[in-house]
Amino acid sequence: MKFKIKSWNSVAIWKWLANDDKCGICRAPFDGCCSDCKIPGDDCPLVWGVCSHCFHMHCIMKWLAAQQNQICPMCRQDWALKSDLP
Amino acid sequence: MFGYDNLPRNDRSQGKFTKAEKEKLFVSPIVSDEIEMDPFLTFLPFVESVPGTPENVTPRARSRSSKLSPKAALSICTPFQLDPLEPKVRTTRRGRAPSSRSSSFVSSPTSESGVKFRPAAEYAAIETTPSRLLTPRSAQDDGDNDSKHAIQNLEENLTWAIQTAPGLFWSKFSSGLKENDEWRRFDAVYRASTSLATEFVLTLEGLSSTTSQVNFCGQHFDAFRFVCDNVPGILMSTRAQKVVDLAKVEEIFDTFYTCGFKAMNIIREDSLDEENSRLNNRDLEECETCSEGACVCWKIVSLFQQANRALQDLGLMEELAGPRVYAVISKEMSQRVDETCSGKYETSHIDELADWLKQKVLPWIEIVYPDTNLASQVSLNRHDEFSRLLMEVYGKAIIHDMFSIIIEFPDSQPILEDLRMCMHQANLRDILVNKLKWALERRLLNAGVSTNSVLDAYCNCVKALKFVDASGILVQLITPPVREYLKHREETVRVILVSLTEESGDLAEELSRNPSHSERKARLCGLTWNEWKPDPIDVPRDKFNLRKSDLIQALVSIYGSKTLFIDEYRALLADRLLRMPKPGPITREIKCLELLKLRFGDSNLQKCEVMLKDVSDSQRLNTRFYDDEGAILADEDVRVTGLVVSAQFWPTFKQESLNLPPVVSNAFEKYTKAFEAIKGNRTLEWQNHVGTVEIEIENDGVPLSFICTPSQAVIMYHFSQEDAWKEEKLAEACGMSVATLQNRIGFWTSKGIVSEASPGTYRLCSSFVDVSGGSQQSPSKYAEESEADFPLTSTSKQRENDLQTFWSYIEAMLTNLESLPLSRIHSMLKLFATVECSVEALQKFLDEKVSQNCLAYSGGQYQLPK
Amino acid sequence: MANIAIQRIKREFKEVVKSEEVAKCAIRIDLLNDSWTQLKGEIAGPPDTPYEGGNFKLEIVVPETYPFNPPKVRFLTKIWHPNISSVTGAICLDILKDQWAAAMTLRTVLLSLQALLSAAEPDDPQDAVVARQYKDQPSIFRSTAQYWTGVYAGGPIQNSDYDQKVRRLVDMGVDENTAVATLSSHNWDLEHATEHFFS
Repeated sequence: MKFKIKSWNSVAIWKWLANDDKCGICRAPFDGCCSDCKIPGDDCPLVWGVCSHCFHMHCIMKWLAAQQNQICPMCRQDWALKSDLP
Repeated sequence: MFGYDNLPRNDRSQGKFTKAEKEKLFVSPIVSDEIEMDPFLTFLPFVESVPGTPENVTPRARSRSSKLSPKAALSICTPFQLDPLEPKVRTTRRGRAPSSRSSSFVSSPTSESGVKFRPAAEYAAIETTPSRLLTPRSAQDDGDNDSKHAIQNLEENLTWAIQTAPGLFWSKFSSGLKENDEWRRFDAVYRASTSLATEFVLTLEGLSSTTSQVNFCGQHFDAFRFVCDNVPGILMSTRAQKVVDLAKVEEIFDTFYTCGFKAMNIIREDSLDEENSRLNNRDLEECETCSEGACVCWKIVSLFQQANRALQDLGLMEELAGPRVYAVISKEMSQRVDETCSGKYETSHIDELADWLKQKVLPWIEIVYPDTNLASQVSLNRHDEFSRLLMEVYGKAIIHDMFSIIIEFPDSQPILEDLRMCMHQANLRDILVNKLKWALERRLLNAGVSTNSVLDAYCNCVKALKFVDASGILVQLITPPVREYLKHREETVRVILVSLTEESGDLAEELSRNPSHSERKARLCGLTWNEWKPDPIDVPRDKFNLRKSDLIQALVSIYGSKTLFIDEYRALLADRLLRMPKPGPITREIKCLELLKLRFGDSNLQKCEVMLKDVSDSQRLNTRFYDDEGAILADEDVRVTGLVVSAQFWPTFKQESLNLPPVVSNAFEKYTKAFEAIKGNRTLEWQNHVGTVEIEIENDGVPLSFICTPSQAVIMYHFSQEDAWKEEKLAEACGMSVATLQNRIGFWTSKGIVSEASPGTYRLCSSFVDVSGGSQQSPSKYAEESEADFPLTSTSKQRENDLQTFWSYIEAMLTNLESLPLSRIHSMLKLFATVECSVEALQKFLDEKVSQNCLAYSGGQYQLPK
Repeated sequence: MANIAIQRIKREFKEVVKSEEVAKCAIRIDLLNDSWTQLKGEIAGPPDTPYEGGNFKLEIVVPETYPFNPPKVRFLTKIWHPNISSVTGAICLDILKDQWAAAMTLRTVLLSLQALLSAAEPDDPQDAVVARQYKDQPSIFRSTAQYWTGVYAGGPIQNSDYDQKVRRLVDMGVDENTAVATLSSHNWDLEHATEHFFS
């Protein structure tokens, strides 16, 4: 018997390649969005610090704005954006 | 002249007894009809209970008071209540020769003076012999015997009035008058009324001398008055009724009026025609009233007229005939309404019926109540009354068909408009509410009716009732049982949503109507202050204001919560999107979502919006990977199209494992790589078992196309590797349980591709010729999936899971607080705004826990079992 | 309240509800009203400490700027601990002050407080008297803390000697709480405590 796949339509869930499943600041899932956004993904991206912790970009920006010292809210090390993406 | 026409104008203020005088006259004991008593006293109670002077009583009021009415009517209508002592009258009467009496009655009825009694001869159009000749000796002998004669005369006349007259009257009805013998029945009424009237006039004449005034037991007694006042009462007294079968008399009267009505109608119809055609063209059949060869309708009408006059003058109209007139006319109306309107809901009939009333009924009424010149107000009132009656009859007829009318809405608008007018005139609300509720319950609310039909009917019902009554009171009174019923049908939300999101249809139309716009419109056509009416007091106040809501609000409110409704919408949307063969255009869904957003607010539909965005993003992604110039995956053998979803926003996918053929998993991998390349830091988690696959299999050179689920495709793939499989082996190869395999493989066995060669062993069929349903011509559009196959968790299941989450919390609460009432637990859970859970749902959940012995319930409080 | 604060409290609340600690009744958070700003916490005294068996109630006030600023937490249940004021319940804990980080949660705060009960920091005291006793008279500190746990936090351990001393002062017209506090501060020396009142 010959078997031929003409088309295969499937469903995939997209995920951030993050070391946790939720943002430590807003505690919403990374795959969701921060408290002020409505659409996840491109519109509400994640950012990684050199300490390798990641957050919703909007969340970490609010945290940094509220602090005098630019530290990671997770590990309290100095916060700096990781330049090279994993 | 002894005619009534030369009597002084009927000055009633002069002719009336005051109430006090009356009381003085008839100091009466309470007497029962049962006991044979002095006839004078026997009927006194009728008089005794006169509520006031009759002229203060309006004609309508009169018709309501039962026993008094004839007398009261008579006393208003006749000149005899003139004080007999009034000298001028006395002299005139006394001067009359008895022989000339009858001739004097030939003179025309005195319409001018408002006198109602007509000369005896007028009643005697048919032969009637007065049962006894009055000898008003008092008028002739002026001697010493005067008072003796007077008393004798009085006795004679009173005896007649009290004993003979009823017999005379009722005897006409006692002979066997068969039902089909219309004419004889008619005749009976005619004879009874006219002969009694004739006799009555004679009697009254006899009493109309001074000698009718006697001292009776030291009291001034006016026999004349007494007779005038009491004849109707005497006739209608229960004693009289014992003599005859009153039900039968009623029947006879019905026939009488029916005949009169028919005859009248025939004449009216004719008179509209040319004179000649009337004579020549009429069929005998048309004139059913006439049993004889020649038409006697005119004759009948004239007799009818006379009889009615007599009844009127005797004061029997209201008591005896009146109810029959109403009965007959309502019957005629019902018949007419049925003829005109039954089943014809698309046109208004109200003008037609009003015309009929004006042409046919009112002229007849005028004959039945020949008191037109008394005061036009009376006849006007009567016209009103009958047109109200017609409205009531018509309204009831519409209400009788209301269910069908609702089903045919909006075509049935004209008749509903009629109903609205009817309800304006007659109090039909309760009847409508009860009848329609009953009809809905009987015809709609049973398991045999599909939810679709119930819903359609409900929508129509709401719309039709709103049309009849814009205030919404009817909707509020009638629809709750249907709402309650719909609430308990599981698929209701789904059906609502499906019809709401269909391309056409009532609900879709309703949805596309901008709610804010329609609200504004409603306000504009709203009532001004002077049109406002308070709600009827018997209308229950509802928690949800059904009355001001539109159809969709009314439907959504069935569920009490927007969130539950929206959750269900999300599930439905997910279902639809996943069933698409591949991510494609979703303009319709987008439009529908936009409309829903207008109604429910953006934030509530946020998740749905993301879902739709996922679909269009995926569509773009697939194009980019496969179709664009220089697309990375353009050369791949197996085209995997992905629907990339944001899991947080979709209903939960069921977990199910499935091993893909290497060629497919490779393709998945490549797709993932391509995705990662353009979406930094993101990857894909494939849901292997979700999706739609189109495969082509070929045996003996016959290619067959199938659209199926991934698991079905994987099973078939394995059969392309080996012809026969043990089910355990195959299940292992596919990475699914044996039970799942057995379920999934059914798709192929039913198509005749695979057969169960021996228990537990499946084999590819050697030829696919026997394929049932010829699927190669028309491969089923979607993979056939049972509910169990569907990859998403149902909303109710989801909700249950949510509640389960809080079980530990509820346990903790109860550990600390020992026992809590339902409401408190609910208010605690409500604080988690992400979980929408009605009190009922929570109760159900807790009760389940109780039945599992995880929880105890006593005295309205939940607690952990000891 | 900012969107993020409400969202976060709701999420945290759910997390706490689902957490093991709740299942073990070690910590608990209750809402006092619908505003999400006023919460009530409860921690169980850690085992092998004088606080074992007691349940300590906490007042938690969530600021507008949460989670960028720490919640304000104070003990409602009276407790004898160097880093907690025996009078006001105020807590000296770095993470509730300058060491706060947005990634911390109500749950971690409560767990940290539990840890604080197991391991006091007498060098960074909130209540100097308690801290001195903790350092100088550890056994008295231990029995005092245990006594407080029994009196105020529903702890199981009774101390009839202390009870008697308190009774004596109460008989002299001293308020019971004051009596307990004063005796505790004076290492349960009844004479000194009496002097404190009547000198």
